[in-house]
Amino acid sequence: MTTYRIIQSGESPSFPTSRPAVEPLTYHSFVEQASGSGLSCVFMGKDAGAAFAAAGKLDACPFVAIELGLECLGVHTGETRGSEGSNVVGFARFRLGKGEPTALVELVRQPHTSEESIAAAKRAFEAADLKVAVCGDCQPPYPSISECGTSSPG
Amino acid sequence: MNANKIDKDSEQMINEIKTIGIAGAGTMGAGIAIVCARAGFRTRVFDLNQSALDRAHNQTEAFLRKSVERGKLAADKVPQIMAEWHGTTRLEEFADCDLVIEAVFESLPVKHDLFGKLNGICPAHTIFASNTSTISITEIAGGSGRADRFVGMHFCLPAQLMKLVEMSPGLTTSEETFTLAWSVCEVLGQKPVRTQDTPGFVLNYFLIPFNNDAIRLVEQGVAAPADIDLAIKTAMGYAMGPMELLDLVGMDTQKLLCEAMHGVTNEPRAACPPLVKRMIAAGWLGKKSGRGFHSYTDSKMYGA
Repeated sequence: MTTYRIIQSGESPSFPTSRPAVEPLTYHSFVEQASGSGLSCVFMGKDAGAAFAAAGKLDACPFVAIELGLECLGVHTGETRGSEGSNVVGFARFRLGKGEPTALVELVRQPHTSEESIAAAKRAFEAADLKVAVCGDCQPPYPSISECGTSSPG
Repeated sequence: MNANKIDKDSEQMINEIKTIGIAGAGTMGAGIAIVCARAGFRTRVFDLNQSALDRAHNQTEAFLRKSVERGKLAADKVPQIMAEWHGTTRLEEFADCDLVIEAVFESLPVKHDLFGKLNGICPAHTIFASNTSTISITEIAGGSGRADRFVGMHFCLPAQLMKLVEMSPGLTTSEETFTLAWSVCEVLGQKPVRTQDTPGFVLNYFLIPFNNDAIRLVEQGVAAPADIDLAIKTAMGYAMGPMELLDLVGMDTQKLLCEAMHGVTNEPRAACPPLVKRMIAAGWLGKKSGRGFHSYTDSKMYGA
C-alpha cells in the first residue's frame, strides 16, 4: 500500500472538514490514513493546483493527485497534443450542490499517465472505502474497441 | 390514478381474462411471460423460433428456482407457474387469449403483420397490447384491425423484476379497453403509470439519449464501460449502470430504438452512435451473445 501525504490548500470540496458546534472535528478516513512522511502527494483544497505548481519536482512519487474543481488536469500539468501524461492524476468526489460528497471518486488521467500511478492512486482511495472511476481529462484519439469491451459487470 | 381504479364492472371483466398471449420470446417477452404466469394467468408464449422458446422456458425455470433460493417464492409455486407457461410456434394457439401483449422487434411493418394475423385468429373481445417503447401506439393500432381495443403496455427491463408499466392509450383506444388493461396490470402486481402516446413515453424519453451519451463516452475514450457503470451506480444510486443495461437490452434493439426515436424527434442525442453499429457487425450484441460492453460467461436471465 502506497503511503501518501496531504498538502492542504484551502477548504476541500471532496473532503470538507466537519465543524460541529460541540463535537470534535471529524475527518474522512482517506485524510486520517495520510502520513506526513508518505511517499505520494495529494494536493487538496481550492488552491491545490497552485500548491502543486509551487511544489517543484515530484517525479519520484508513486503518484501525485491534485483535487480538481471545474478545470482540466491539463491546466496544471500542461497539454502536449494528446501525448501528455506523467505520475500526476486529478480527482474529485462527486457531490450534488452542497450535499455531502458521495463515495464516488472520479480519478482523472491523461493519455499517457503511468498505469502504475493510476493503480496506486486508485488503491489509496479504495483503502478508504471510496469507489474509484477512472476517466479521461480530455478527449483523446478513439481507443480500439478491444479496449472497450473486456470487463465484467460489477 | 383514480379514474383507473378497479370498479365493479371492470372487476367482473377482469375475471373473464384467463389467458394472456405474449408474442415474442426474447428478453422482454420472456420476462413479461413470467409476470403473467406468476400471477396465475394461463400464459401462451409465441415465437417463430423453437430454440428461442426453449431458451425462454429454461431461463424462466432457472429464474424461478433462484427466486425460491432467495426466499422470494415458495418452492411449490415453481411447478404451478411452469404449468401455466405454454410455448408455441403456431400463432393459431392464441385463439383463446383474452389479452395479447406483443414484444417483437421495434418495426412497424413487423408489428402490423403480427396484429393483422392475430386479428383473424383472436375473438372480438381480445385486447391487443404492444410493449413498444418508441413506436406510436396509434400507428400500431391503425394496422391491428381493432384500433379501439388496442393499448400500449410498456414493461421495463428486466420485466420479471421491474414493477413499472407505462400504460398509453392511442388516439383510438376506448376508455373501456384502457381501464381493463390497467386493471390487468394491477392484478399482475405491476405499477402502471399513464402516459401519452409520445416517443419514448417517460422512461425512454430519458433513457435512450442517456444511454447514447454513455456509449459516446466509450467511443471518445473518456472512460471504460466498467468505470462508467461504477460512477453512475455509486453517485446516482442506480441499480444498474448504463453499459450493463445496454448489454441487457442488446445492441440490435438499441439501434432500433434509436432509429425509431430519432426518426420521430430528430433529437441528435437519440441518433444511433456508430459504435453500436460496429458492435452489431462484430456480433457483440450484449449479454445474449456473451459479449457487449462487458463479457459474460453464461446466458442466464437477469436475476437467475
